[in-house]
This record gives sequence, structure tokens and C-alpha cells, in this order.
Amino acid sequence: MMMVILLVATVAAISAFEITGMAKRRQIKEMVIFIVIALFSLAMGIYYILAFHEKSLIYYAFKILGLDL
Amino acid sequence: MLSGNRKISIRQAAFLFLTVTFTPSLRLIAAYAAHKAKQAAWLAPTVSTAFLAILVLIWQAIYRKYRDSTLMEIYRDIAGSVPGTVILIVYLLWMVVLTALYIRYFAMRLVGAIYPNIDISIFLISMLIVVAYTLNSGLVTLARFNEILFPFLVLVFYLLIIMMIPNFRTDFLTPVSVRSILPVVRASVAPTGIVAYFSFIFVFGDRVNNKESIKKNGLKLALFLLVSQTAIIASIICTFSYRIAQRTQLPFLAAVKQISVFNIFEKVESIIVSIWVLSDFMIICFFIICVLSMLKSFFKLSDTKPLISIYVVFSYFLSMLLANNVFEMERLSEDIALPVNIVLGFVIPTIMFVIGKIRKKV
Repeated sequence: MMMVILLVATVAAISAFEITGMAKRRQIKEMVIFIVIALFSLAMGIYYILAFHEKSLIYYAFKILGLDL
Repeated sequence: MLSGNRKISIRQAAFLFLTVTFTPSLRLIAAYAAHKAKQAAWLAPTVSTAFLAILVLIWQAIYRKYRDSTLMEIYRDIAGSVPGTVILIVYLLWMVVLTALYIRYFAMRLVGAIYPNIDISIFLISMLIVVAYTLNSGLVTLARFNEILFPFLVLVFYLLIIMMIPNFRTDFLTPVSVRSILPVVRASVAPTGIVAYFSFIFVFGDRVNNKESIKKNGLKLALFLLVSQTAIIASIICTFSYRIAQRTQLPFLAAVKQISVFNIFEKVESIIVSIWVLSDFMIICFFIICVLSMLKSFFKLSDTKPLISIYVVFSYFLSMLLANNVFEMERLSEDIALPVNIVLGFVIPTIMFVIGKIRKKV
């Protein structure tokens, strides 16, 4: 749980710093892209920290392509 | 040859490309080529150099017309907006994967080579903080730093090769006959898959000056790569024979560990690890710049600097989820990454050139 809090705090700190700057410069598109990447990062981070993932993305990629790993 | 405050010269771009190819060449091509072509593996770079020379000529021809365009603008103009965008989405996704792959390789190599039983996150986070900090200074700063770094890498690399010479057995490089031609072509997939990164330079082609010299600089770097990649493979095969080379993980590191100059100068593997770290730093920065340049082109962003830090966090978690062990990463590199690199780096630019010729756009 401590790691999740650390992750959220890190993403929140980066977001606060960067979004403030982008808002000042009225960079709306940049803010949207930033938020999308931030949400992806949070989702992947929380999955990485909390979920039991014995299978990697490479494993799934090979499975989808029908290759033996 | 510095070119303005916001642009780099084609020479600086060529140096960047050469540094980017350094680590993958050391890691991958010797074992792959030894597996496919046995003792003739050292001839594999000749085939890839021929392909690279053709690629250089293709890009020179393309840039005669598109003087200040990026790869994205060129593809959209030649193939049309929708097909061009579809192709570019594949490029973007692949570069996201390559960024994560190289981040993970960096940490796994350190842990595998000299720091066993240490959490890879320590190396990853340290590296990514430095990468994010450096990228805030921009491509020009990175290219200028690389102008200092690249000669250092070359000097150290060739010094190591010279120090390996007493361990060489040149009979391991023979016999080579006409029957070696097909295995050599198959072995050339590895060096070709790496030199295919040449096309990725043009993702930020709008920030590269004097592109009329692509041919001159490109052919020089192709020659340099021919010599360097042949030296890598030959030095490893001369030290161990192809049988051991094809089964060894990090064969160049293993060959460097054999160095002993008059029993005084030994244990020089720390040197190779340090130049690996520097080269990995450049390759991670290079692919992050490519990804951000593509995002900038897709969404017509005015600035990508605010995205650097969050993209670095994203890449960290992607790299952690990407693989569970080195074995998986090696399989990804050999079975998927090399063919995809060849398609994106060689095949698609060639197709674009042909379509451009037909549509009289090139």
C-alpha cells in the first residue's frame, strides 16, 4: 500500500508542476496528452504494484502471435 | 559543425545513430550471427552495410524534395493522410516498446554483469532521473554531449579490441566457402535490424540541418559500422569460437574478461560496463525524443517538454511489466524486434520511396 501512495504522490507532484506551467501557457492539447499518459502510468503502476503478474507483456505478445516462448 | 540553436547537423545526427547502435551491436549480433553462420558470422555486417548504403541513398533522394520535413510529414504526403497515419501509429507504438525494452535491458545488464542480487529499480530510477533532466535541455544539448561521448566510446572499444588480440585464434574464423553465403545472409538479420535505426533519425528530421550531406555522412558511417561490427563479431569468435559465442550471454563482456596484458592489466570489464551505461543513456534518450516528436506531429503540439517527466514514469512501469527475465527479452529481440526493425527501418522507407517516385513526389 505504501508503494501505491508513493506512486500516486509522485504522479500528482509531477502533474501539479507540469500542468501549472501548461495552464499558464494555455497549452490545452499538451495538458490532455499529459493527463492521458499520467492515467496510463497510474493504471500500469497500480497493476504492477498490487496485482500478482507472473506473466509478462512479452508472454502475451508471443501468445497472440502464436509463437512459442 | 554546430548548426543553429535549435537544430543539429547531419554529422551530429550520424554520431547519435552510431552511439545508439553501439550497445545493441555488442549485445546481440555476435551470438545471433554465430548461431546462424557459424565461423563465417564475421561476414554478416557486409550484407547489412550494403543495405545501409542503399537506405542512405534512399533518404538522400527523399530529402532532395522534402528539405525541412519529418519522417511523419513525408509519409503522410507520399502515402496519403490516412494510410500514412496508420503506418505512423505502428512506428509510435514500436518506439514506445523499444524505449521500454532498452530501459529494461540497461538494468538487467548491470544486474547480470556486475551487480547480482540488487533490485533493478535502483538502476532504472537513477537512469530515468538523469534522462528526464537531460531531455529538458533538448536534442541539441544531447547531440553536443554525444559529440564528446562518441569518440570516447570508439577509443575505448578499439583499445579493448587491441588488448584482446593476444587471445585471438584466427583459425576460428575459417573455413569460409561459397556455401557460407546463405548462412551469412541469414546472420545479417541481426546487424541489419540494428542499422535500421538510421531511418528513425528522420523522425526529428526537421531539426537536422544540411541534409544535402546525408549521402556523404551516411556512407562514411556505413563504412565505420562495417569495420566496428565486423570487429565485434570477429573478436568474439576469435576468442571463443562460434560454438561458445552462440551460447554465451553478453559474449563481448565475456571476451573482455579474458583480457590480461602481461598479467598486470586485468579485470577491465568495468570499462565496458561504464561505456555500456553511457551508450544506454543515449539510446533511451534517443527513443524518448523519437516518441515525443511523433506525439508532437500527431497532435500538433507546440511543446513536448512538459511531457518528458510523465512519459519517463510511464516507460518505467512499461519496462517493468514488459518482461520477467532476460530470456524473454532476448526472444523478443531476436524473433520480433529484429524483423520489425527491418520492416520499419528498411522496407517501409523503400516502399515510400517507390510510391513517391510513382506519384512524382520524390
